[in-house]
Amino acid sequence: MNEGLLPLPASPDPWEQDEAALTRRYRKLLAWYPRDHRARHEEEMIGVLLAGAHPGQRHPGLGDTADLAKGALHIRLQRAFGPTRAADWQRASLIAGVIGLVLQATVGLGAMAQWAIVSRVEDSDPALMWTFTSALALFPLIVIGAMRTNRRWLVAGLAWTLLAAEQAVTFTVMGTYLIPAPEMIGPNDPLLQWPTVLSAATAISLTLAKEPWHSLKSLRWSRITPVLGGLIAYGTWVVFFGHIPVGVLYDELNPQLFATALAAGLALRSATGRRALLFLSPALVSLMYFAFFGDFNPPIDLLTIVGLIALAVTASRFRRARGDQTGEVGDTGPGTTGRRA
Amino acid sequence: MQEPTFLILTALASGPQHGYAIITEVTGISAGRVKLRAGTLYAALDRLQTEGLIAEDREEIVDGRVRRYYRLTGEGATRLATEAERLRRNAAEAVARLRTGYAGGTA
Repeated sequence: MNEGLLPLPASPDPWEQDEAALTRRYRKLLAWYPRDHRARHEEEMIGVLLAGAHPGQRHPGLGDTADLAKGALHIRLQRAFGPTRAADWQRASLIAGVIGLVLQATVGLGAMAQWAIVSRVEDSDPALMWTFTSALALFPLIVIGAMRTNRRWLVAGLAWTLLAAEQAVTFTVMGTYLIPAPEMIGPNDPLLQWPTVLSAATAISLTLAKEPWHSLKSLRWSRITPVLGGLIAYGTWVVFFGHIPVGVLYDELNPQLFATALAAGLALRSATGRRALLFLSPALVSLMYFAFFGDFNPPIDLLTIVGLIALAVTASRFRRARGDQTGEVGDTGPGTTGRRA
Repeated sequence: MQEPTFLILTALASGPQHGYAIITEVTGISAGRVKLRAGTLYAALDRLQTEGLIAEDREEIVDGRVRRYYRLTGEGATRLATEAERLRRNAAEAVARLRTGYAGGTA
């Protein structure tokens, strides 16, 4: 009957069409996942998703879509910060607290050095200023010493006391209010000054850090020492060689920005460092904000730019290396495998 | 240890399984109470591999797609055994107290 007629083109199997459409849409959803995870698991996940699909299904269900979004977010967070175990975060909060205290001590040392010069040219109460600046330098070290007791609430209480004392003295000495008048809100608001934010971030971090002394002993110090060493070297430099500001305690910002950018760059190289950086990020944001927009500060200079470039370069190295899952560098505490955290 | 993690490790305790088999095993073990989806499963597998509790066992190609099998590691077996023992002790204690207290009170 069909002799002489061209054969009809085979019509595509509707089931195959459905599966192809569904596969294509699942691939779009899997684009949310990190590249290395997609390369390794995309076909496998599509196989699992198709195995659970209904006959004739052409679109991913809402449940699967939400679940894939949640899974992609979890994996990205795991890539950035390591496993979500509480112990890892508590260890990172302790590192953030220690770094915060060391930074606070350097701020205090800087303030003492500045006051030594300012007191010669300004008519202020020297006893009050010496007490204030030396307390700024010494109290953070006392908090570090208190860690030997291994009492979390004592350490956290001292850190909060430091924050409260700084605020009280700032009010007394600088004559500004903790809750500023509307015209003071902005870069000059004392609450936005980065030492205050740093002090608050440190206190919060130490509140979250369990068993501070035991945790400190379990840390891999060879990885943390360069960051702390850099900060202490900076503090020493401020004391002996820092240039002199014009009557404000906290305007030595650009070297601080440089040191902080370098320390942040080093921290970005490990999962524990990234977790610790997250705890200190309010202080970092505040520092950047104040450095760029504060009325007290000189314009951005070469040192600032170099620091920011160092941060950017290190961050880009981290992004390139992310695919090969560089190893944990922050801790060796119980439960860690040493593979990646 | 969260319940989905416990159930995934339990599913792998009797031998290596591929992704979809883990999902069906978990549904079976939990009597249909826990139904894993692909996103949750692979986030958990990623984390468990990172922690060294599971490892990739082998691959097969089925219908042109890779099917990867996962197995429990020694560390994973230890963690699962520890958690199972903890749950067993808690459950035994709960049952014992119910027998002596609640059953006695209602007698």
